Amino acid sequence: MPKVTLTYFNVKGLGEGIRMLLAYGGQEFEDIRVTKDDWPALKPKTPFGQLPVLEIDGKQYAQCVAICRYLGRKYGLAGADIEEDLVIDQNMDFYTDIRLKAASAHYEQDEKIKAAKHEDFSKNLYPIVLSKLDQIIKENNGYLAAGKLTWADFLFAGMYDSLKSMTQTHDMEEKYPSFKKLRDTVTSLPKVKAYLDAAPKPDY
Amino acid sequence: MESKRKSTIQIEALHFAEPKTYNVFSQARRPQKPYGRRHCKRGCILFIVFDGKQQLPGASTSTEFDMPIIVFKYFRVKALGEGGRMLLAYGGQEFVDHRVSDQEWPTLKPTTPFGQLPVLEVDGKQYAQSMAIYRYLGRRFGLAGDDVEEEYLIDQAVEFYNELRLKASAVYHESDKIIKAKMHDDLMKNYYPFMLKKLDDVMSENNGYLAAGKLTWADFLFAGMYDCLKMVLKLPDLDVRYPSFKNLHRRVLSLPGVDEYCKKAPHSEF
Repeated sequence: MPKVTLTYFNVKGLGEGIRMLLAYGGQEFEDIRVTKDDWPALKPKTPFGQLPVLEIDGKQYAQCVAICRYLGRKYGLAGADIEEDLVIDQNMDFYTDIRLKAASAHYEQDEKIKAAKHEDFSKNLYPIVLSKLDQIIKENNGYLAAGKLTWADFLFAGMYDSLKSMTQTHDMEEKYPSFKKLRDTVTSLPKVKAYLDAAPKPDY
Repeated sequence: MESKRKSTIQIEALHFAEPKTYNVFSQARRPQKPYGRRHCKRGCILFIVFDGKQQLPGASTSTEFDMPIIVFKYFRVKALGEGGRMLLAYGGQEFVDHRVSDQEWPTLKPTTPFGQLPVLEVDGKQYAQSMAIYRYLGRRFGLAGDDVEEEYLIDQAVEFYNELRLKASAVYHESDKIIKAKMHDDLMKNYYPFMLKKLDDVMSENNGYLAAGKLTWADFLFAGMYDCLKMVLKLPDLDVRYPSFKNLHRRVLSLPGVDEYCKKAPHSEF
């Protein structure tokens, strides 16, 4: 059995999807959660100065979406052919665009710019893209792509709360019930649920 | 590709507002890595225009293809589209190089999957999202590594490169001049040096390529975006600062298939 560690902060964010994928794949792993204080010392030891980092038998893997796709291929959560993989990648990238836009507002340091960005996105972006995302999930039997469970759904599920908070869509459950439903679909998968029940409680 | 071709294609661009000029690139057949069984429809589509001359709809020279008809739609720039075009050219894949004008875009936009370009159309089915398209073309043309580990390495390098690209693009697209200048200064001081050095290191560790020590679709993304990156970074001397970047750019553009495509393609600064 390979020795696997997943290193991330004690939050869900971009690490949770990977944790859940590993659990789904039946892969035992050391679930390392780094504190803010420990991070500066660890940072230069990572491939790109960022987390999450997956380590398999000493080999480091960085970049969250690349990791999720890789595990998806290993655990039978990818497409049946390259056209299906294309659609999974396509829908995941669409979601990622939303996530990155929301993050650019959420992590903006300047309060005035942050407020302006958020106002712009709330009015001109989120209604369009979140409805589109909702439509995509509905067209795919409740999943992000290919009408079935794929690695993309794990990333989506892990980031659900972050998406809510970054887009400041506090009524997301009412507006887009398909999102929470998909999150719950993933978190209630038997091996995932078992992992989550035993895992440390994340800060957020 | 061993399939025989009959001698006529008829392709009709039904969804365009007016007759357009397209370049159709027909390269020598290249041996391709098998990626699985494909059922190729025998297609009969009508073309408007060959060789830069406008023709009326329904005009012929026609050929029946055994292969799916591919259309690559993007704006009249290189940026995020050029890599896709070069991948198709490298793969010896005939394709309609649909360059969308500002006038055409508002009509075309709602017909695309996400209101964005590029779009790859295969046998009438549209696919969006540049990285997804590039990865797909990479896998079709044997440029996606030999196994899941190498595919991952390519994805990792691309995700890293895209972080840099997106940060720089965000500055470029910022409309407020003061904010824009502030963003650029901040990145020049705190971000670009680290990222560019890292990118250079990645290439050093990969025989001058972006991943897996060899040519992959990631290199096509890089090469196609190169002039655009220099512009959004506001570093016209990037060639001098990091010769590895220019070398990779040159290497991709001089590949067989890509070279011929670049010679025929309409010119664009970035």
